[in-house]
Amino acid sequence: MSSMNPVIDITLIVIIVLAIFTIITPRVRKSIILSGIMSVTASFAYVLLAAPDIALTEAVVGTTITTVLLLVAIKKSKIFIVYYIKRDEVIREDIMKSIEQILKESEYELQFVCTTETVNFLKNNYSFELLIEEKEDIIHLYGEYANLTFVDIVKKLKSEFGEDLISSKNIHDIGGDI
Amino acid sequence: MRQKFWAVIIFIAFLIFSYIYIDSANTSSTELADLYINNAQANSQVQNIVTAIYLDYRIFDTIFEALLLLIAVIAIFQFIKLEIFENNLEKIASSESIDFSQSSIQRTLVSIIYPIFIIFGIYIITRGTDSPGGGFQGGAIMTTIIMCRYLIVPNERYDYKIPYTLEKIFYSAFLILVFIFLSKKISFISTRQYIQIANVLLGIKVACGLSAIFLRFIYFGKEEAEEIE
Repeated sequence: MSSMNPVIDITLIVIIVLAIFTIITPRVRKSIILSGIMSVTASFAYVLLAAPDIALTEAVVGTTITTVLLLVAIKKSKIFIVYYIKRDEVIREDIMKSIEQILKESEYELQFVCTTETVNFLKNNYSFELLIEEKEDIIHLYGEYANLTFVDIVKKLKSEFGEDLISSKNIHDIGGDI
Repeated sequence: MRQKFWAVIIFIAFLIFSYIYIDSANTSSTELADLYINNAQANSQVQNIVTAIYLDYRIFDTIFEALLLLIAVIAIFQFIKLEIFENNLEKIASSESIDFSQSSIQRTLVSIIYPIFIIFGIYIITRGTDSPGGGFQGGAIMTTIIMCRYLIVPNERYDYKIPYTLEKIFYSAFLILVFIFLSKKISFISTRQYIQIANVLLGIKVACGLSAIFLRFIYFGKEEAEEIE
């Protein structure tokens, strides 16, 4: 390297190392925070290269605004809404544990709502991704087959509880009489 | 995993080779740099050459850059579904103002610190002429005001239309000021005063735009878990 100041060299190498870690980590939140740290280091490099205006802009935009906006976007998009129709004041804990395990692997956040309304009422008025209804020992799961997480949940519950205890239907296929 | 590894290796090799290539190219002509360094401070009557460049010598670049930010804000408002947004806005507005599930340490400390951000933002915007700073930097700092307020009282109703409309008003005012200055027929503003007013207008415009993006994001898809009986 032909620059005269060893501090600039070290800072630039640190930026490259942080960038590699940002790409390699499997968790999304870790990479967002690492990209924020990379912005701070880049801002420090700009100060060493005698550009204070750009250092100010990079520090504010790269650290505060980008990191906060990305974290808010992650939080708002990774919510999985489950509605559970209660009949007997009892919730099947084992079903909920299996669902939570799948959601933890794909980093979704579970939002769980208990209700006593009918399936058609919920389908027309509320938006959700999974609807669980217990009817005479058979558990009905309603959702969209285009949603891969729903398909994973159905597969896992069928393999755990048996094929004849679980039934799954596409939410857009049910008629008006349920 | 293997593909990621090879992509990273190739990218680093590309960076190293491009650095060596650019470093070995000789740049011997410094005519444009000399023009700016020798004449900018005297002609524009400001000490900060960067501000003089982006508000006096290359004003059209600044106009289109601010327009780019405006269009990005409009695009975000256009592409996020409006139905979800309007439904949840009514639900949120009816809940209480203080959410006690958030930590009170965070609420107390942020409420002490955030007036300092306001003063710091105004300082950076208005001191753009003689020391490092300027419109864009100060505007980005002023958006942290809305973020801090959201950390303190997350359930309060924030009207997203106010910064969305204000941004366009301030951008129009900035354009009118620029064309008055460029036309040279109305010459009651000196260059230094024009740069000071333009910095302030740009800063408030950028702050409104980024705040509008933030407010739109926090309301998207927010539903509260409730018992429906």
